[in-house]
Amino acid sequence: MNIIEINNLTFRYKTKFIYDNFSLNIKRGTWVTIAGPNGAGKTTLVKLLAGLVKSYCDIKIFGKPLNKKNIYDVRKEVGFVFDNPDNFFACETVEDELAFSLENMAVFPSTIKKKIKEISSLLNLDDILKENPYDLSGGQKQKVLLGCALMLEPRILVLDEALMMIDINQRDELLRILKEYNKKKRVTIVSFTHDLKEAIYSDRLVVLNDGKIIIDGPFPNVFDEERVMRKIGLEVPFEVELSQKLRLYKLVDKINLNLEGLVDELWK
Amino acid sequence: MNDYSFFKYIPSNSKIHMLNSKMKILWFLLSIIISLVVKDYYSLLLFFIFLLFVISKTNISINVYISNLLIIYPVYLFCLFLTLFISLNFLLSVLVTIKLILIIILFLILTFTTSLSEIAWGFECVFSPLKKLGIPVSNISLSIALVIKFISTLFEKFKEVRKSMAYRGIPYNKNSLTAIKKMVFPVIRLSYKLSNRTISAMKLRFYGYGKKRTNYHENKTTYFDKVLVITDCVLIYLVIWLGWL
Repeated sequence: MNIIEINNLTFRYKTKFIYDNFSLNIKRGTWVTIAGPNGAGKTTLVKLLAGLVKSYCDIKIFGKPLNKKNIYDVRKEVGFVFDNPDNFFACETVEDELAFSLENMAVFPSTIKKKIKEISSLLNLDDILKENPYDLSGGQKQKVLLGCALMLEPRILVLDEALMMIDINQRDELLRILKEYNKKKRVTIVSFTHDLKEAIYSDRLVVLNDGKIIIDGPFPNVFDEERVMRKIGLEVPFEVELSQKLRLYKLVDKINLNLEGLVDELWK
Repeated sequence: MNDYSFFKYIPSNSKIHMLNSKMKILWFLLSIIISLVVKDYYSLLLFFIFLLFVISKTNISINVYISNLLIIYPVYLFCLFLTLFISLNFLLSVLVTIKLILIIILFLILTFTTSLSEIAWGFECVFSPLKKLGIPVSNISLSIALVIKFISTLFEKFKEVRKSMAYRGIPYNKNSLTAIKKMVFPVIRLSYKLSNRTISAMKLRFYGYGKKRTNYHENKTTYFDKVLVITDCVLIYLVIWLGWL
């Protein structure tokens, strides 16, 4: 079942067309990475999905068209995590930040307390609940932002370059947490990025360029088209390149984005 | 200037931080009334001593208050000269300027010790009777709190622009007028961008979604809360009485 349906989307800023007849469907429970270089139209698509810019097209989420009437119903089910958390924060403590959306939705304080406990233990935020979110490190800020999104128990999680400010270790940890969440709660994850390493747990990779889909396929087989990716300026992960070369010599069967997995396969 | 920004919350476990938000807003509004109705220097002194007591209970260094007060010293000078120009009475213009400084101190105490959601909740509780008239008190309260937060953010952006100008060779310390001229447009542009982003973030976080809002945590009303509010009421009485004498 398609949870997000974009049919024949046409969108332009002033005279410049960002999307012209663009279509994309995303199935429930999948993790889809939408990659592309700067200016490919990723952020515009996020804004369109969030209903922050008006579109005269057919975007349906859960089968409901994204219009003024449905926008709040749709937003309740979609969690957004943006690249710059400072723009998103509205409160002075992490705890208040996590509670803010639910307070606005008039959820009972006891329920909010329970949710904060659950999310803070999932993301290891217990020690920073009383801290000012603006004073945290980049990685911690992103975790808080992710926590804010997860507080709503979304059915769809949209990540807009959300892991860019995080160091490799924290990024891997967050990706693992997200994969677990994706599996356990059947949450659909749509991740927008220009770093293909973030696609490690994806089920599907869509590559955008100039508002058009140029590659769309299951992960990691989609890396067979690595030349096209390189051509538009996307950096293909070292692990993929290595896997490709090892495949040429028939040393491994498939592309592996995880070095440990690759070593395991070679060891067999 | 220290790291604390104008109107920015400073976390602590002081008695003033732990006040019930409803009582704190009530105390704040009563104190504003005192600073507005005060007419003589004895009352001013009395109120100032009371404010010093409250400041001492905030666990925030007096230097933080002084440095924050000094940020907007041109505003006090402007107020002094304007009232002097209008009234031609030096003593009166000094009194009005001191009143303005007291109001700024009150705002500093409130914003240093109260988080955004507590301010919003406090205003909402105090003005809740207006809900019966169909006034969207929740939204107005949160808007007030967001405006206060926006002021501190704007000050931070102003500092950022000033630093970036300095790195690019504009000697803002030597010729402040030139520097201010060059800073005006970047700060306006930044604040416009910031307000747009804040609006988007608020939309996504269901601000103004329904008529009702809940408050996740609320400090209980204690003996100290009541003492502060009662002291304010007594001070209002004294100020009016002293003004008549």
